[in-house]
Amino acid sequence: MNWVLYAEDEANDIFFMQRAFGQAGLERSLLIVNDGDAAIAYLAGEGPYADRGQHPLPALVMLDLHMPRRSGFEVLKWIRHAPTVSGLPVVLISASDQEGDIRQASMLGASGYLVKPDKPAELLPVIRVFKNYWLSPDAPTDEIGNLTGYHNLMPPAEPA
Amino acid sequence: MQNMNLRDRLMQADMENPDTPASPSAPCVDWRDMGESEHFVQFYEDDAFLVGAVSGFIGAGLDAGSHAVVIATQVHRDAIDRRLRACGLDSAALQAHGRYRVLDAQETLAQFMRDGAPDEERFHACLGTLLASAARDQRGVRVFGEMVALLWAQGNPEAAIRLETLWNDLGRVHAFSLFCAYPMRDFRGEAHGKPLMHICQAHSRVIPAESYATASDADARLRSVALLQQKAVSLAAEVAERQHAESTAREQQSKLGMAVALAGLGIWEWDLDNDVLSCSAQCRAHLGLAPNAALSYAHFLECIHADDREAVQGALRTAIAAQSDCHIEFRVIGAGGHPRWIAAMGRCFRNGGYRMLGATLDVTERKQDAMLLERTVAERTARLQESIGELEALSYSISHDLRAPLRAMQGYAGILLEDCGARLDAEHHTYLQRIASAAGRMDLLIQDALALSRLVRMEPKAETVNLDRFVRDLLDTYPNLQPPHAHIVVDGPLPPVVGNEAALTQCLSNLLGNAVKFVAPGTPAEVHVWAERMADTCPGDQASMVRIFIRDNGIGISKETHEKIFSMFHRLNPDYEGTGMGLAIVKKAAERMGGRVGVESEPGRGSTFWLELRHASPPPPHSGGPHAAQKP
Repeated sequence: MNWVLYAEDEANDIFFMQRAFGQAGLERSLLIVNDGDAAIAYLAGEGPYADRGQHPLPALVMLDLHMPRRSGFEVLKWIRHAPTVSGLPVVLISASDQEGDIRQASMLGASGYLVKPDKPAELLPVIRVFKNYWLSPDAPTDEIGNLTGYHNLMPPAEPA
Repeated sequence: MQNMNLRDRLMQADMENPDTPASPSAPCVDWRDMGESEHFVQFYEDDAFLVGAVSGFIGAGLDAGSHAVVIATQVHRDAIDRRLRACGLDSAALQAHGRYRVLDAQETLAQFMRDGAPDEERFHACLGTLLASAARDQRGVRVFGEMVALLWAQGNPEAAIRLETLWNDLGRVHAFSLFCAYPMRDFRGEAHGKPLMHICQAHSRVIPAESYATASDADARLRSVALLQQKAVSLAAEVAERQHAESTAREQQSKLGMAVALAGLGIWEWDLDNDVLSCSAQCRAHLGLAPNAALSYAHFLECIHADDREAVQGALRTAIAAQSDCHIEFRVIGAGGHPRWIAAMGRCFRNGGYRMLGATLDVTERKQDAMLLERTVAERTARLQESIGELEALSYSISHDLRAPLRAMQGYAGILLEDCGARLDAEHHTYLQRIASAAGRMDLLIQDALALSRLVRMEPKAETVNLDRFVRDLLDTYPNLQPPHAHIVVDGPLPPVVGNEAALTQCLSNLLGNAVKFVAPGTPAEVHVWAERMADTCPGDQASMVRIFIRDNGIGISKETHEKIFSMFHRLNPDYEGTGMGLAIVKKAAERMGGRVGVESEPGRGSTFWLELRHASPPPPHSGGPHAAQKP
């Protein structure tokens, strides 16, 4: 099973994401944490997340940019410097399409940048692409470039 | 010698007496002819001449059996006595006999002077008695006196003239002829003109100084007079000229002084070879130096604030090396220990030795003002930066937090339609769609407001934009600008412009979006884009601007509203969706690029919007291909 860790503080956005994952047939692979500190604790296997049997390492990390405690940028920076998880693909998710944010994400080593779509229905195609791209080992696709609001920032890492 | 009369002998005496330099006595005066009661004055230039004249006068009188009185200085008395004896007169015997009386001028004067003026009573007591005794035997009395000359030389002309008057009064009582003498050297200067007249008036006869008196005949005297007149005129002219020059110089000096004082300028001069520094009182005050102390470069340096000393020395060294001007500003420790700012201007030059001349000025107030201004600007800039930062944080927060609930509204409305659509009737569908579209419009408003505030805050970098490629890329990016929604024709190639891609995107996407949006229902949008080179508004400009035209076949705009449409929240037509901010964004973006926008339109006849930007000179031929080759 390929897990996806989603760090998000906004309950509505979590709901829309869960719905899209469900529609994509991935309802059970989404792991949710609610802030940046929790995301880091999860990935480090610390505190409540120490049991890897209960809390397995994900194949993809999705980070909301604006979260309490630590922002998506800070978590991303931590990931890229943590030897055990530095190779994980990380997609930043934000309501903002500001160039500065996208550039910053790229500089910190994000794999992609997703602007939260106005209509939740528009999430589904993105999640489908993610599924094919990062979550199944044999899924070639060039769909990723056609997604509105999604910026493919770097060549995807080899699937873990 | 024996054959000669006394006069001749007196005339000759000079030659024989080695004590007396050769100087002829006045040949124009025959001392034997003097009247019994004359009061005459002799002006003389040379002592020897005087001695000759007096000896002639006294000697002739004694020779004729008259009495004689000499009231003179020791030097003159001795010289006269020698001369008389040389002429064969036994002065000692004559004195013993009482016919010849000799008095010291100073001593005699002291007997009747009181409080700087001759006292009439004492004068009569002193000299009246003497003359009364001499005049008693009626053989005539000759008197030589130079007490008046002494008074004159002492700078007391009033007393001298008064004494002359007393002599005249005495002459009315006793018959005697009086010889007065004044050295000409005491009459230098114009101020003596009037007293000289008074003296002359006090005498019955005036004998001019020897340069005139020795002239041999009337003709020579006339020539002498003419010469003197010429000298007098030229001297008077010269004096007047000098006086005028002096008064002009004085006036200039005083004006200059006034200006220097008004300006508060201190003046200084530095003799580098001898290291002597001269400073005006004001300059000393500027430097905080004592009023009269002798100064050198070291003293000057000591006045200067330690932190400024090196800079001052450097500037002076440079000026001296180049023999040029320097302008330095430095601090000195003023009264009460407060530093004052002094500006010193100087010029180094060579005039014999090296010299430096200049001025100082107290510029403390100006410096303080400048520093205050600098501080104020820094403070305000910091405050402005702070508010810009806050504004940025605010708009960032708006773009994230304000939009989240809208997304939720749109999302749940959508989900409700999707999941429960079958169970809802048509009316409920409409409500849900209205919720979604209201949320969508709100989201657009927020995005436009953010775009506008970003434009207001941004400092757009001016860059050359390949307009032709830019427009074609833009058309490719937006599906609503492509068939079948719209037919947009671009008359290329469009010339390059000076702009900023972000701002230009805002401009052209809004203008093109409007062009395809505001068409009558059912009419396919047809848009024509072209560019023309324009002259700038400044005179003499040829074609430095580019105007991009966007003509549509839309509903058009009435003339009255042409100005209004570029202001914020002015929605012209409620039938069409929009935030009312699109053209405000266009206008702001154009202005930030140094351009402008405008419109030509009539209702029902379409609109032509234009955007004017500065033309970018094409790159040099070697750095890029021809324009057409740059097209995608």
